[in-house]
Amino acid sequence: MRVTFNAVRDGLDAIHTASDAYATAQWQVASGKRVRVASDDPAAVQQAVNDQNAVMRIDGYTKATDSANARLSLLDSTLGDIVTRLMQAMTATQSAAGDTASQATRDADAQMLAGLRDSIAGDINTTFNGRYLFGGQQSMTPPYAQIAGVWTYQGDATPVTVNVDESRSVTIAMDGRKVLQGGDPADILTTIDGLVTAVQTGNQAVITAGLDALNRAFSRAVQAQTAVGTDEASVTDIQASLVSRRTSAVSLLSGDTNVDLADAITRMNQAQVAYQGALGAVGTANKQSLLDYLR
Amino acid sequence: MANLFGSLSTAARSLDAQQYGLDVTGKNIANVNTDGYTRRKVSLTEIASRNGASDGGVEISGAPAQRDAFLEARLRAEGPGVSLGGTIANALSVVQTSLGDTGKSIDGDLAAFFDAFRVLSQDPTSSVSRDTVVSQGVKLAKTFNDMTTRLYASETAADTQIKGSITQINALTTQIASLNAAISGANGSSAESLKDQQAIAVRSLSHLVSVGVMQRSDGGVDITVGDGRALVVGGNFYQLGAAPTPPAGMTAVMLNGIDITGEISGGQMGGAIQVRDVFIPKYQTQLDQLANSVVTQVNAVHSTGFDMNGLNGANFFTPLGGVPGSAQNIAVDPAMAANSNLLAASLSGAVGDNQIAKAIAALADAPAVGPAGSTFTQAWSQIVFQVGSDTQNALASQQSHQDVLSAVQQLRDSVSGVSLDDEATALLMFQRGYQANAKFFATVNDVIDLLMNMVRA
Repeated sequence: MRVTFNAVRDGLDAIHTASDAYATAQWQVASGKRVRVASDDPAAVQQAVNDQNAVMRIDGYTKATDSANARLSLLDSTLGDIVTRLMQAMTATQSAAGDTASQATRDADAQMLAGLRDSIAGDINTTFNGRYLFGGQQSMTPPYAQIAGVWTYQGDATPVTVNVDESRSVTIAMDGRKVLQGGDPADILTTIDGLVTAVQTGNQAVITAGLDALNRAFSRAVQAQTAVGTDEASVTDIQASLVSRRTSAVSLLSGDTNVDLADAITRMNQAQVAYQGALGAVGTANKQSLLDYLR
Repeated sequence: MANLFGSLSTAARSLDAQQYGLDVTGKNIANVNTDGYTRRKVSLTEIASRNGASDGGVEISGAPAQRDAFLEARLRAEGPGVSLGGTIANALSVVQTSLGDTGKSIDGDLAAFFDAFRVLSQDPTSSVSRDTVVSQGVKLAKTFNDMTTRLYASETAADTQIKGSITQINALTTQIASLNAAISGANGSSAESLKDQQAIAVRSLSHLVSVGVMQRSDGGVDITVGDGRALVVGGNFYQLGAAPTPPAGMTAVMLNGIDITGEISGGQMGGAIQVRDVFIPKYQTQLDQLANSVVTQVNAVHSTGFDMNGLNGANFFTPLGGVPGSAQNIAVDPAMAANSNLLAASLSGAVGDNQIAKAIAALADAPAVGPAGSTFTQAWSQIVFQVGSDTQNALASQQSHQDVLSAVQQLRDSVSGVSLDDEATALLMFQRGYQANAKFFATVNDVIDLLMNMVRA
């Protein structure tokens, strides 16, 4: 076959092909990426979109667990305070029980009970960023307030939960009445009000009933604190799981579009040699023809 | 029997022939880099002797161009494929660039939007969280709007390319018709030059649109387009026209008053038509479906809730008329955009209830789009894949046709291309031929001189 040499067409085509491969390899080494646009590897880019979304979703849940953790810590410590104060109230009430306590002792116990009542009322009206934690969904209203001298629950019975993972939620605002009243006819604040008077007057029947009510309230508070503790433990586990899942998702994402650097550098070197070869080949071939040998 | 004057005449004719050979070789060398030039090969014929006498010598029978009709046809046939793939790949490369980087486009905005609802669920009464949800909704809608604008810009660019192709095609068909007329009345080397120009024009035309080419007996070509519609018949040509079509005023390709847009295939124009009428509408439909699903699903949940004022939730997004145009028209309800207290996060009406916020946040992972039940992000990733895959296919098709075209071009060059080695050989050959004939002429002349001197003596 006759071979013609078209330096403009064949030569430039060869140089363009080699320089394109060189530029691509160079970009991959410089950027650490294998894929620049979707057409480089459509399936990998599609996977990358989904993997990137998984990373963002995990980041979202991580933020949710951080926020939930702060609330749960406050709930936990508040319930711990309530438990402590209920124990103190039981101690003060027991001190006033029976015939042995003097009036001065009973007065002091009554005064202490009144203080503990106020503390419990303060605890149950605890806020996080200005939102009440024990009013159920009524986060803007103090759960317990004295209205016309009567302790009144202003929250509702529906706890507020947030999702901290795809299939896991934790309670960040609970029903305060469930803690302070439960199935009793009166909440513990009202009960302590009665105990203050009973302790002062030595009304043993009321004191005994009050002690039982304090006991039940103590159990409910401990139970609620345990539930919060369980949620806290879950959140801690989920946080650890999110960290490991994020690592895994980032690794997948990296595998979708990142380049194998060793491979890229090797290909860049090969492409560089090919590019130089193309330049040299075209330069050499363009100089040679029979005309150069004719004299 | 030969005589000396006959020999002189033979030598003179041969000198002419060798000179002609040198002239043709010079033309070939001059056109070594001329696109479309077909090398000429000198054809010399021995002049038959009369009455058995060998005094004929040589005569020039011409310098025909070395054409291979089959290879020329193959070159024309591959042109539309190369241009089609190239045009589609170029246009879709712009589209895929406008899709944005992973995590920084609609996928990122979708994630941020639903994440804002997740954050809101932690404190439904927070004005900061509410404002964030609204602003993320506005941003998401804007991104959809921008994406549609970019797709429309690509569509318009393809339409402009179609109009440009029409102008170029008309210029080429005019030129081919004119060449046809010239070729039918020309002969010899001028006809070959005209045929070279004709081949270049037809090849250029085939890069613009897939055409049928029929060789005429007078050397001209007839050209058809689409379903065998005549563009050039001999010296006559028929101009393509551009007519705007409703609703967007995109260009229809007209020929003799008939819309032949649907018949156009191959070439730059065929590629631009596919980009404008097939690819971009396909992506736009997918984008509209995604936007429509976002609006429908979010509104469906949002409207069952209660806002901060305890009133029934309105629509978060302005309701859409239907799927078409959804990505262009998606917008956060103006009242909502102005007052985030209208955002409904509560199912019960209690201000601290977050169930609606949680339900909307959960939509991010819900099967929400299309019959296959893709998540929003999956639906977006399918659009990205589709654009990438279509671009890749177009590039592969272009490369495949280009490879064939290069191979055919080499074959064509092996027949029609100028080889400097060949021309150097021919140069040497005709130079030597000329020198030998000149020597022969001088020798015969000397002999005649000798004879004449003898006569004078």
